[in-house]
Amino acid sequence: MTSLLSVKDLAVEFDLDKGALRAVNGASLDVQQGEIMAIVGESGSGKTTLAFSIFNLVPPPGKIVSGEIFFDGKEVLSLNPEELRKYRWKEVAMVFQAAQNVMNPVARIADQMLDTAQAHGKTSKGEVIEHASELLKMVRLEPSQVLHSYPHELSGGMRQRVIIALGLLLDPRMLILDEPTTALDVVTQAYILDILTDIRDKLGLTMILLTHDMSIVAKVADRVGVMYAGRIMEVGKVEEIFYDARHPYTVGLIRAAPSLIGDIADKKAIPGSPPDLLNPPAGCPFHPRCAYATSHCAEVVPELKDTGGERLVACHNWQLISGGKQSG
Amino acid sequence: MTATTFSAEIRHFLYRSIYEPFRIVTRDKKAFAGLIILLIFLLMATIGPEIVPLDMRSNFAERFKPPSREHPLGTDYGGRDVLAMIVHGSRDVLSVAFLAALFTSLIAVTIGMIAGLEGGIVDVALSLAINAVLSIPSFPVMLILGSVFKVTNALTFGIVLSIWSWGSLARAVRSQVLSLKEREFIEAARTLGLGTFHVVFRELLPNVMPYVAINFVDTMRGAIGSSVGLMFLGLVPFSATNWGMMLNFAVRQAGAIYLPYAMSYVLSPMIAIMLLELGGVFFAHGLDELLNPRLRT
Amino acid sequence: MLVILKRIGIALFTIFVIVSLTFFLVRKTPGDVMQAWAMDLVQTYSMTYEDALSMVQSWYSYDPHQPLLQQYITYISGLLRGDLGKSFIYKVSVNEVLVRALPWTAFVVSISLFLSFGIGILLGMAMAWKRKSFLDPLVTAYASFTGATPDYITALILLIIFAVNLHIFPLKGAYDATITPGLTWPFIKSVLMHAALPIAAYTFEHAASWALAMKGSAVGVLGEDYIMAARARGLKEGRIMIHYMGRNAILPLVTGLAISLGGMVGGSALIETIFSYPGIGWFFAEALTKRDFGLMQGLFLFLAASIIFANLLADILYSVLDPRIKLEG
Repeated sequence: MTSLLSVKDLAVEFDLDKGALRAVNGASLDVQQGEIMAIVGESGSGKTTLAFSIFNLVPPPGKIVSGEIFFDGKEVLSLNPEELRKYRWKEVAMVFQAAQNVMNPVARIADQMLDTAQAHGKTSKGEVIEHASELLKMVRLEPSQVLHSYPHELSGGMRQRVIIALGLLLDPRMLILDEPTTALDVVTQAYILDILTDIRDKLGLTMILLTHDMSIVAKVADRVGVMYAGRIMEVGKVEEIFYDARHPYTVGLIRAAPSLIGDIADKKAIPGSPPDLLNPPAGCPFHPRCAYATSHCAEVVPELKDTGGERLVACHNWQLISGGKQSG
Repeated sequence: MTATTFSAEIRHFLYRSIYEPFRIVTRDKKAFAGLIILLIFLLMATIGPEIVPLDMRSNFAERFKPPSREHPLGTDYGGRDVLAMIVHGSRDVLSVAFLAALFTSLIAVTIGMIAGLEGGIVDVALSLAINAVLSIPSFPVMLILGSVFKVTNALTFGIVLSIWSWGSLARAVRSQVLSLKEREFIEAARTLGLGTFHVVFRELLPNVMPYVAINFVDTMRGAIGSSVGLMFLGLVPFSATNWGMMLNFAVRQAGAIYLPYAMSYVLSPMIAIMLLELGGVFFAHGLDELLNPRLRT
Repeated sequence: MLVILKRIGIALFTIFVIVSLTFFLVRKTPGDVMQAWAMDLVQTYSMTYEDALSMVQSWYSYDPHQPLLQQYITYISGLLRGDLGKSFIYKVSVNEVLVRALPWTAFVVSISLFLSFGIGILLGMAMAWKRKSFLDPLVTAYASFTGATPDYITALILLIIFAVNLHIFPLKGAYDATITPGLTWPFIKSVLMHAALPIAAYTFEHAASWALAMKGSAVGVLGEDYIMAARARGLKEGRIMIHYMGRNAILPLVTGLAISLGGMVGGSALIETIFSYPGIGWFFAEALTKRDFGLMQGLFLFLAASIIFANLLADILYSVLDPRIKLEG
């Protein structure tokens, strides 16, 4: 079965005064229709840049320097501006973080919805508002209250839900969610997650979930991709990853994640600090922090390989790690 | 506080407020260009009149002559050399502007400081005053003042020009003082028993001076524009070589703009004013860019 | 609501300050000026000197026999009734002068404001949208130049080039005196030709700084997340430029409109004198040079009051345009 989204060897560089920063450095990923794929990684791992690349919207001074992105067979990076504009939001939409200022401050919510719809050829105002109202109800907001408001008049949680509704407005085939629960309180977080599972169940939408919070992954995702230093290090089904991680970084992430059960003393932070993306280490980018690293790791970059059962791992020593004891 | 400590205070204050900004400015190209232009005019104003003789006697045979070797900028309606008048006029123009800026700064700093430090009802009253001065356009006020009061020399002219110009600087000084007041080092100084004098000169004024320095050049520029405007309307007739008066005579009284060969007479004061203003703009621009006080301390 | 009232209160207070200041300034009027006027009247109308002097004093609302406070109250109550005083040289009330002069100034100033603001923001948007065009250095250099040159010098240059030498535009007046006013094309054309240079002077002077201000604001807006998000939503570039960048970038500039108006009105005395354009500025300058304190005071009061209210309006306008602002004290 062909993937809905197929990212091949993507590389994105930011041209800074100090040098070229490789935010994404040879990342490859496949997402199947109807699944929820979580991409986990620390801040700076390149998840958001990867997401923007799918829209071909990497902000300057960033530039996509190599790689291909196939969405439903079409190569996105070679679309002309008009095709690109039509593709954006209609095929793939994004749910930004509520904390970001992603809505026009001087336009009401209803107008933002209308703007989006009209840009894609839907001119009937009544129909658009009706559809928007249904979506707002689906995210458990009251349309009559929200549609007339300005963005700053809504709370963080309400804004996040509006952004979700806005993302669903054109019935996209795929939805990318960038840290949808960060900067929200725990109760609202649970609420949003509920809504997301609702959406998945009702609409059968393909979703990519960017997060650094492993607990969300456990609750909502089907598959997980682990990203580090701009590369995908491991991909696999959620339970398999949690119970049988095959990459040292994944192991570290799971061990470091807090949970309500278990002693906090069992939690271990990953030693070392995030890599310098201006001068990445030679060989495997994780090797300076890796307990299993060998001299081979410091020289040769590991490829993302299928290690059986559609489990992809980019590590020379994955056999050492697999089957090891984990704590969830 | 003894006499010696006081002079040490003043010296320290002068260093921080004059020497330091000067050094920073010479690093920026635009500001440097502006500085050079200003220095040329300064030279013109100080030693120019000693070098170039001014002969104010009328010589009607020579009137409205175009530029020649004898009269590089032509002659005026009375046959007098325009270049000499420009050179002598620069002294008037610059001294009036300087005095205006000086008085403006003094008034603004005093009012801003008192408002900021005292707070309470004094601050409210002074803020209302600052607001009033800012909302009423200063040029018409200066026009009226120039008409009502007899302005006979550069000093009185400078005072008249400064009466309505201190608003924006006072506001800036006040907010700076207000924000500094909260900072620990003021508290520390007070706790250590160092008097208000010390606080004002050692702590507050040096932090306020960057605003004053930038504003000084701008105020001078504004004063030049306003003073020439006032003279152009014939309201302040105390000096015949002042560029504003030259323009007045040229345009309004002698009708020189209608005489093509008298162009240099009309254009000379205009170009002098433009150059001086441009120099001021560049210089202040550089000062502003480099000397952003918010990045300090 | 409460805050708007507070603003209005401050505005009224400021006007009160001006009124009082001008009142006391006029009291300060050199006595010899009044005597000179009195002498003039004696010669023209063969009055007695005492009669002439008291007439002049009444023009100034200055009755030396009345206590100062009384005079002040008389003056204020006159003002409240709309009596702005009398002009000595024209022998009519200031209001009559205003009626004749205000339309011209209003005409020129409003068109100039509109043109310079309009051209400025369009240029500014273009400069911000396409960063590396030739516009940027050109406009910036032009702005430095015009910013440094005082407005009357720009006016003089325009007068010399276009009116005196090239004879394209007329040298003075609001319209050709040989044409009778009316809604006829010859009249309208004449009005426009006469107003063209003053308008050009104001516009040349200010357009570039509006452009730079708009550019600065727009560049700031372009860095915001909602611009990026708008692109992600597939909105057309034109829509983003105007409704997302433009609408947001203009906001901080609105208060500048009042300041610009203030500057134009303040400078009108000089500009109108240079073009011999009979607006408020021209009459004000005449009053100044001829020491007509009655007209001077009345016109100044009117000017200052209008500018203060313009500022107030701009503040209110801003709060209406930007939904995020709830007017703060």
